[in-house]
Amino acid sequence: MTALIAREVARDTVALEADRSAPGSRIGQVPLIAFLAGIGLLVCSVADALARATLAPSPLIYWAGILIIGLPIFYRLLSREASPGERLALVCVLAMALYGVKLAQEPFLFTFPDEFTHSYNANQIELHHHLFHPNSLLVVSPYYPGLEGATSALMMLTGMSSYVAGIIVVGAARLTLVIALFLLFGRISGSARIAGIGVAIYAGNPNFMFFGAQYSYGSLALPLLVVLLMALAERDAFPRSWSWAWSVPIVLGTAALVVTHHLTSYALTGILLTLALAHVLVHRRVEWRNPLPFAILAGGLSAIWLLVVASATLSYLEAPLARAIRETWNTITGDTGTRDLFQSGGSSSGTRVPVSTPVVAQIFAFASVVILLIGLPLGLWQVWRRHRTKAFALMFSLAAIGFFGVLGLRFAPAAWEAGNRAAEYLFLGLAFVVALAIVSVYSLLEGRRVRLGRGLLTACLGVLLTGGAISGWPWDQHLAQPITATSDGRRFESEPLGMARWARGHFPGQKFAATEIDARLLIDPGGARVYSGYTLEVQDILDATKLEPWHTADLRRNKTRYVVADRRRTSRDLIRGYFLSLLPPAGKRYRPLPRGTTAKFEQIPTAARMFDSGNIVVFDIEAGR
Amino acid sequence: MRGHQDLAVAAAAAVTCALFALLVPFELVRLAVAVPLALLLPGYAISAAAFGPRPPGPVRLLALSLGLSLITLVLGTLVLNYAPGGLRAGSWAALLVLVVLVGCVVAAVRRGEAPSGRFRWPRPRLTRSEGGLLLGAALAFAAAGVISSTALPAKNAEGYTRLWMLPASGAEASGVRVGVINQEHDTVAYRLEVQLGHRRNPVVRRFFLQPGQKRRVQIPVGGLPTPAKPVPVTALLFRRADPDTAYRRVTGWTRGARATP
Repeated sequence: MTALIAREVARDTVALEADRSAPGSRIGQVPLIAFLAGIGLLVCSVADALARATLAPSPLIYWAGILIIGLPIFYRLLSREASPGERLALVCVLAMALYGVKLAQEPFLFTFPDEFTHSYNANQIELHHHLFHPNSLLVVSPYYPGLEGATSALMMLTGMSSYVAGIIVVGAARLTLVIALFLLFGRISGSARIAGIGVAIYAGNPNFMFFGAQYSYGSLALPLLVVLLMALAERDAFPRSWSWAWSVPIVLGTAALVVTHHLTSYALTGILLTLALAHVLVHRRVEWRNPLPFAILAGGLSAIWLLVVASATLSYLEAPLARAIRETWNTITGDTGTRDLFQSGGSSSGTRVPVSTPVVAQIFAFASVVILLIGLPLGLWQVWRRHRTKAFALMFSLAAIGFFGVLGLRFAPAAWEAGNRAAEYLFLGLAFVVALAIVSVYSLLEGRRVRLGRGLLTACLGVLLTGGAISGWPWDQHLAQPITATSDGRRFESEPLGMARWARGHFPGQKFAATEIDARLLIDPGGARVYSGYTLEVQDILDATKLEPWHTADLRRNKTRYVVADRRRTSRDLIRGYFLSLLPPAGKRYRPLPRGTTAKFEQIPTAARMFDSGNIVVFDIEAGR
Repeated sequence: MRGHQDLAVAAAAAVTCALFALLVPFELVRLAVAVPLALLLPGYAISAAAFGPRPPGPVRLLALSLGLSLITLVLGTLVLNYAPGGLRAGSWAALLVLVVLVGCVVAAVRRGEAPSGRFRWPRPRLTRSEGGLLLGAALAFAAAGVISSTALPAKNAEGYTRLWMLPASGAEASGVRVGVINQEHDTVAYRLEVQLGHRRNPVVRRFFLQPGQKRRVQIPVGGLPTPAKPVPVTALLFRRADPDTAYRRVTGWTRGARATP
């Protein structure tokens, strides 16, 4: 069996440098598979269009589209015949088609929770021509201006909106991510086939399709991190005389990463230190290949940026991290109940929108974890047999094991988000290890079983893709939701969007207190300064049904004159609240929050109720002064 | 850069793209030239400068070109923030062109003697069917874009009406402005009643609005002493279908010569 695997890998091992010929000579099945991916995207966009038309289409249409994109690519990537160039083209098609699925949800506006704050920052840069303008909603974000700065370049050079420029920058970053990841896996494994399968598995990580594709600083930081790792791996593989050349992207990339995203820059330092340690373990000495100097550089630059420029990050990260650790411990000891999987909704239990995931979808999500779990020991065995002298392979193995560790955080109510974000990084290692497992399993197949086995492995990759997507994003939000629609040829828009546009027209740049959803739309496209959530205790003020003296005092002390009260239950739901309210069969009609949540502000003697759209009411608490 | 055709092409392309981006008024043309200028050429030039006579191979060069271009944009943001004028179209274009030109010059110097032969762009050798499939793929992607960007009627979405009231604009203006926007699925007959203080008769306006249509009403204020204690103003909106129940309600304050909401 060992000989079979060795022969398989030897046959498959193709130096990527050898693929220097023109793409046309090795284009293989790319045209056919790209066509199928286009059809798959078309099917997804039709499903989205039917959902936006509130016709309640079957989700099967959408998932069929996803599989039409994925399965032909997986099937071809598993083959022995495809050239390295063809494999690279296929993973690029996969990444871009899946990015298209995300964009097809809403092609004119940002509608993902983090996108509004970063879009606001980009608009502020364009408006003021300088960085670091405050963002009341995500205070630390202006201190990490990498994404918004890059976006502002395109905005200014093209005259286009932050939306268009933003999706181009994130699209370029995702293309960079898959190419660099392909090269990284190819370099470590010595196999373009393992590289292609590894990238395909990575596309099955829960955040790949939606969360990681949103316009957010993490969506640029992760590709930069992978480019750095790729450059490090290449530097390792080339003679010392090339070291300087490969150091250029590493050093520049480290600096860029530090100013783009806090957590990724700290992750980079951790990764480089782990790699340095693995190097010492493997080589038994510190030699020029050891990335310790880069680890020191990354750690030093991150610390300087944190202390000199972005000191607000400390308090920003401290509270949720402490809460996550505390609640994880409480969950382990049984003091707090576990979080229900496949549930999402409002920020507090009183306002939660109950949404459940169908059993079949849950089975797919669990099956994807089971496949990864089965692949882990097989892959680790392959690492031990063939790659244990490679520092990267050892680090990937650690990450692969770590993935299942952080999976447990999904059961802790306050820690699931930290676990979800960490999983995106750890999945880099897991994808590599499971790709080794898949190729080793494939190598055991002979004769007629090859086709059947290839089909089964393709199906497994399909389950990974769909299962990952299901566990990474709420089930009811995979299909598009209407934020605007037409009636008699005229366009109308959702209640919070209409309120935000009204605020932009009459109160640009003014201070508002609002729910999480209204706040996001108020900063972009509203262009206002907004306090929300637990900042200044806004959430408590808005959730209360009776006016307390401290409510007004708090608002006045912080010079927040305008208050947006929203009775929609979804107005506390970071994912569902931006859209038009739907009626059966397209959606559920939720009982509105008590009338007191809005009416209480009328008891303020100087208040004016200046805007009313049914569920949303805007007050000026100083109008009568 | 004589003899290094790739570098000459990159440098010339950067200058041309920058000029087009700055001078052409059409957004799509500017987008077409800004994308390579911002997302490809700087990374290519830096890679060429770093690797000099030993380029790393086409696939790695592509990854580095994209990655280093993004890195250039990120770090360029910081550089321009502290440069005179800050982040503007002109300064971005100048910085990107400068990075490309310096990168190409350094690369040319490091490469030394010009290699023989002309630079050749990769030319895909496609059969007719392969070309047709790729064209089909492009059309499918484009069709998906068109479908996604088409606004559709949403009969099962809940309609609503917006009512707002603000002081009349302008320092000298008095009274209030009231706005109504129909976001319902059908044409609606509205009755607007504006009650000023404790006056016996409210100001009444009746109008129809089609879906998406809006109406602004200016309500002048007369007969109040100026300046005076603020007087409350209430605007109620009724629908003809339910004439006894106020559908929307807004309140504000006015002082006669000038109103506050």
